[in-house]
Amino acid sequence: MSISEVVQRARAAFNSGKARPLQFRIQQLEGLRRMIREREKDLVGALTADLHKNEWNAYYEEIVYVLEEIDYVIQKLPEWAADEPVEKTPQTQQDEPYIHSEPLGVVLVIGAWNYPFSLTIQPMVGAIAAGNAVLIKPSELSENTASLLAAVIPQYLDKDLYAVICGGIPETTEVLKERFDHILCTGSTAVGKIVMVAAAKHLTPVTLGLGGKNPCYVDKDCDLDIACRRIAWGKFMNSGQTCVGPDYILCDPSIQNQIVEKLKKSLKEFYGEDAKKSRDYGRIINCQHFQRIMGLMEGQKVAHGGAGDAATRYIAPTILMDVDPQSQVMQEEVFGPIMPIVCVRGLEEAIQFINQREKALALYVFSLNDKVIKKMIAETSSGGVTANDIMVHSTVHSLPYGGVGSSGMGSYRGWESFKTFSHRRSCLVRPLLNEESLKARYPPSPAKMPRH
Amino acid sequence: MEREVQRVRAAFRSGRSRPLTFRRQQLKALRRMVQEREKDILAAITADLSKSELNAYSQEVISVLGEIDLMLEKLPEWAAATPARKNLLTMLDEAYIQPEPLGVVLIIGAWNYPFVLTIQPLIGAIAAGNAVIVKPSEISENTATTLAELLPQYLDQDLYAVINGGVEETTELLKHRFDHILYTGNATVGKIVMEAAAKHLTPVTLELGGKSPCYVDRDCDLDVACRRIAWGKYMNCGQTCIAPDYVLCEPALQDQIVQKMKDAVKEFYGENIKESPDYERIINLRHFKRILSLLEGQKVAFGGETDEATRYIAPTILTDVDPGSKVMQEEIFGPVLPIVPVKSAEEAVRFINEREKPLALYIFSQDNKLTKWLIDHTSSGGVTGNDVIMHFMLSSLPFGGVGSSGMGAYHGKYSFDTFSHQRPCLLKSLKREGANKLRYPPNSPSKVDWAKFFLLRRFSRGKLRLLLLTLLGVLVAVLIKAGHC
Repeated sequence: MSISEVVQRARAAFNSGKARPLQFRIQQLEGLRRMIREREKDLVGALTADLHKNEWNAYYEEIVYVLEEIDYVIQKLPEWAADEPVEKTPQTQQDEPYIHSEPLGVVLVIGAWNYPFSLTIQPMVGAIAAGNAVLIKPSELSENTASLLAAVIPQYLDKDLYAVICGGIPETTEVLKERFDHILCTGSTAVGKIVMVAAAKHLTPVTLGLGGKNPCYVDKDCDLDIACRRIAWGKFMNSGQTCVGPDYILCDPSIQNQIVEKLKKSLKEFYGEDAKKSRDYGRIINCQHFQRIMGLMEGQKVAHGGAGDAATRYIAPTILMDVDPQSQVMQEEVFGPIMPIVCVRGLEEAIQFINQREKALALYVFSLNDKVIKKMIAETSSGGVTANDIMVHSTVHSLPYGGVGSSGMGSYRGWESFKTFSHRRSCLVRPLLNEESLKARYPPSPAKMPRH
Repeated sequence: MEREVQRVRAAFRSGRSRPLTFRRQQLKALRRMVQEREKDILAAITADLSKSELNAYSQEVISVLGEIDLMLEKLPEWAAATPARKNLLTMLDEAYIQPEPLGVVLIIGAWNYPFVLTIQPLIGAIAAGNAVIVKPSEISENTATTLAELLPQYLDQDLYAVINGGVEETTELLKHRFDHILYTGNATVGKIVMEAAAKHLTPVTLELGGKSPCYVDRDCDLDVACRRIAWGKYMNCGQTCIAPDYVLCEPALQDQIVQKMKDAVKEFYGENIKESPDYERIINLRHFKRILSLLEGQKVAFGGETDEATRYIAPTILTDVDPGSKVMQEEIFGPVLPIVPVKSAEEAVRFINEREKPLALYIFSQDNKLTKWLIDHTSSGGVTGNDVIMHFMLSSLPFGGVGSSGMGAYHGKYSFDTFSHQRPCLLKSLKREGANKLRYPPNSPSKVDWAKFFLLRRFSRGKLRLLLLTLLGVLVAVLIKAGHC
């Protein structure tokens, strides 16, 4: 089937109305849940092949969040899908004003390669819950996961409403010519722009989960042991290939050495003496990214790590010290296991540094001083914030997940997903009576303007 | 223009627009402007649309004043951080969503309600703490000029600017980077705006149009229905984004509808409609000619009179309209009401669904079940049942389109949210590291099992249980580390 035919089939299936009953949607979500449970081994196998994830990383970093989302959404769906009455005005006391949630139609989800399962399926959960037909285009870079999804999804979900389209740039370009009712894309800023330009031709609304350089400010007044362990965990997970990972550290020169030491200590705890031998340490997705990341180390002061093996696309957990803000490693999102440390003298300078740059997807601040944290948050912007830890804000259901500025637009997860993939339609149902109270609005108008 | 945009951005960067007191002060100044310069504002609208002052006041100024008052009242509540529900792993942390300004907002206004469609979004953008550039429509030139004169006299001149001009200036303006763009207008330009915004990854709110259908059921008080439809249709000479564009009804009702609408029109505008101070004119010659051409070959049940010199088109109704004809191919945006006969509500639904999603849908019926059924089986920006236009008037309802009638919404809190970034914040402490131990490498099969246990359990009963489970988690983590399980 051509891409166009797949899209038409999904649209026809949507128009048939079969995705509207809540029972159907819940049944499909249960099917998805069954798929994950029954095919867990295959899933882990695919993630291992793509990114050297083991059963634990795959589960803890991807699978569990999708299962949580499915459970949460199934539980909440009846409440979310119900009409929501709103506040009346004195003039509308006898009316019924409410918001009616309805599906948009055919949704396109473009997945990313770094968490190829959760970043494709988690949005899909929301789109299904909202009653849409859904097409997913997993990233071709994580090819094993893409093939697996293409194979298993039709085995568990309605084949017409939900389809997987695989392929690279030509296929994605082809898909983007079609008309959708919403597009959610996770990827780079460059891809985000391409998607939005294509969407504009059909006036399709978009949700873009992009990236940026997520700053991580470490205050002098801080428990460095704990801070560094948490930072190391978040940074080197998936070999640094995480949209919300801490991209670089900002700290006072006086604590730089300590930070380096403590990061090293945590790395040893996590991955042993030689991370290459650890089952828990990931690999770079492909050669192109491997070369790119290795290049970022050029001319830098390597405090730890620095080694790379092209054959296995392994890059050692690496820390750079005294990094010059103008250097290459500070010009692009690192998206790899290199942690540059940039020295700043105090909170003010850190805030200024951050504000001179594009708004990031996440901001991290470590301090024992609540005032420091509050000031950092108040004087900067970013998609989201976690203070004194890494990434956790992106795992809480009740917090929307999304960027701002060049790190993205729109958000999803839980109730946000449901809203993103629904049209929240304003309805005002009045009685056909009460003509008296409306008489004032009809012409002819009084001869003079009343005093007011 | 470059300098102007940079000046506005620098003003935003200064942080001046962030404190709530500043925003309130600006909103109050805006209100003062509307109250003190009411005459000038009404005169401008009147000049642009041949509208009576009273109508200009009731159609535009009232909504603006209402919106300002609402913002002033609600600002402290809306701008405050909203606590978020936490899960097992974060229950001892502080989780909240903090609204913050986006930066520099661009508002591109429309000509049909040139004041409210430019100022109402401005109110929301100011309330949310942004700097704003307003680009009023050049077609309603008197209002555009008046806004350019008045706004700098009352509002902070660096944070809020008016840039006037036509297609060329707008194209130039759209090359610049904004943090949000709200555009009101047609789909063609909407696409241009979105494409320009895409180059900077600027989110957009597009308030577009479409052919808003009006279904009239046989089970209906036609007197009341027709009066309401006539009111909404012929207001502003049909130049309203949410005017009922065309009527769908059973063939048997057509004649009655025509008669009752005729009666309503007479009630409203008298025998000599041209003399009525309440009946407006078409905005310009181009639109006048466009609407005129829609009448070609149609069965005019009443109306049809026109006068090019004054751009007058009489309230007009067409019957037995062929869905394939020109008048059914584009948004009319004029005082011409086609009636398309359909055999049933089902056929009406099919008819509506074969077309682009409109900005509004109207349903007239005493049968509430039918109304709900029609709502369920169609889509549109918004709906009013048994009246027209009114869903626009409630600030508790989001106002916006869907599909080709637009994206995003505003009014009231929806304005505030549209022009804010809702930033999720999770504040943890540097203590209680024990609870985190399960997540760190090196992994072990037992860690996975425990992770599954904790993360997938559904906890609906009480905080104490959560606390006990957290403690258990810490204990387990310690035991795992010590090699006991």
